[in-house]
Amino acid sequence: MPRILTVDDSATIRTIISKNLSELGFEIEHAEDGAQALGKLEEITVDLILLDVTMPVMDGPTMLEKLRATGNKTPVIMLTSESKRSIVSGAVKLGIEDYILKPFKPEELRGKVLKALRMDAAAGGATNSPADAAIAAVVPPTASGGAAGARQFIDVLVVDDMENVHKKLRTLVPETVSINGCVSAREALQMCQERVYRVVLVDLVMPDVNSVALMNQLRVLQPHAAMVALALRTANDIATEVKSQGFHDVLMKPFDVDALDEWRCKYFEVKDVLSVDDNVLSCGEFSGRQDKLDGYFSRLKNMCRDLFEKLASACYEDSIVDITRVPLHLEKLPRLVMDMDNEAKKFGIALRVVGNADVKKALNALVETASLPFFATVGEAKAA
Amino acid sequence: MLGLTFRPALAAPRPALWRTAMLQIPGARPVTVALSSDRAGCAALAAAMLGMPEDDLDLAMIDDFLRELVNMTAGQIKAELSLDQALGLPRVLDGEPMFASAGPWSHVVLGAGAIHLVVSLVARLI
Repeated sequence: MPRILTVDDSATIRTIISKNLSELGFEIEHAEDGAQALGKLEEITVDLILLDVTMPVMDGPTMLEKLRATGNKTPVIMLTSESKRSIVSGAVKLGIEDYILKPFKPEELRGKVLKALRMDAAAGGATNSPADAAIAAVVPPTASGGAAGARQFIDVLVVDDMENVHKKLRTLVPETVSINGCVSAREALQMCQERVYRVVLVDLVMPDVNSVALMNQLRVLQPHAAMVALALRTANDIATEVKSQGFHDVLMKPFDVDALDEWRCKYFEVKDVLSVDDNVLSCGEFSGRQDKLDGYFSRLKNMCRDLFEKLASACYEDSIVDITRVPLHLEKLPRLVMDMDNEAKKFGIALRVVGNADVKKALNALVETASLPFFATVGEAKAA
Repeated sequence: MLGLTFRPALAAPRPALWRTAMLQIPGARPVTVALSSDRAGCAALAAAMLGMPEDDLDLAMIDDFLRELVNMTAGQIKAELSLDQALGLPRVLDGEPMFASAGPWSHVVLGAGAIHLVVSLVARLI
């Protein structure tokens, strides 16, 4: 585990740093001034030093100068309340990796610490630190170094030491959802540096890995991804526990098809339920269990509501809804179309419905839907 | 770091100064910066910054927090005034006698909800 020495006369700052970096799985050592830090560094080796500028007994720049004079090249991030150029430029000459202006945000601290450690590991063990191997294990070197905008976008990363979990998920989720899998923390960190993920699934039980600490490290690299815990079905009240640990959600193993379907709807735009082309909305087939049919109709209704709003803001005055593939439920289908029509009217959009003869028959059951313009094909509806 | 946004509370009465942290910026344009608040304000701010319940804070922690806060505030003021002078070390003291004996101080009351904080400045070293 990488070890970080924080040198600050303020117990407040030491506490804040310790709290933020311990959550990432780092071991934190403390010193109250430069002299105490130099003494500590004679006894222990650290992978990074967070150094305050203004301190009693011995200030940060003096300590840094003395440290470098001994040949110690441990990376240093300077913390300062003042952006005095002479202090910062002097420290840069003595070889600081970066500096942080106080007050700082936790994300800035975490980001700069991870960056500094990654640079050190990528340098190929220049520090000769015994903990280099540990750093490399937790924070691997950047392979691409590219900006986030240039990184490949992938929907899901599965981090589980059992390779079968990734394979199983692949068989249960449509091909439209892209999935990467890895079996170690090192691989996960590497992949999160190189790509952008929408959802990261982290197994709660992996050999020699603290899953919560790993999740926190991954979150720094993927600040916009949803972090979802993978837990065994036997775990009791695991949802509450993992949420208190910082996960967004939990997904149970072995995977349940219905639970997966709900999970997919929660995190992804389910294009196979409703696809949009210009002002044509095409409803997809229902492929789940019968007791999930209500959810399917409800999802369609909600998705349409949002889409009508978008169509209205794009100045469309009409919309074609193709319901040919919607299950022919004599009660739910007319009600769905009636709800769709009501939602469309709220935005001033006139609805045209496309379906086969059976659909038309079902719609005739309700006065509200029987009178809607009805067509056998999208082409006909467009031409009308 | 505090997760709070302070704004000038011009209409608010100056709170009782339970604790004051002071810091000198010596140099060609000497300035002394002080931060004060009442007991509730100090405890609430320290708890917010440290992310711990107020009941778990002791006096030393609150004093340390105030020293750090005046240090950061002085850094910001120094940047605003474009002072190329190093910050001194912060210390905590009884504010009322200091403000009474050495003037003229300028005081601004800042508020974030029920918390009030007094920022005081004087163009000399105290």
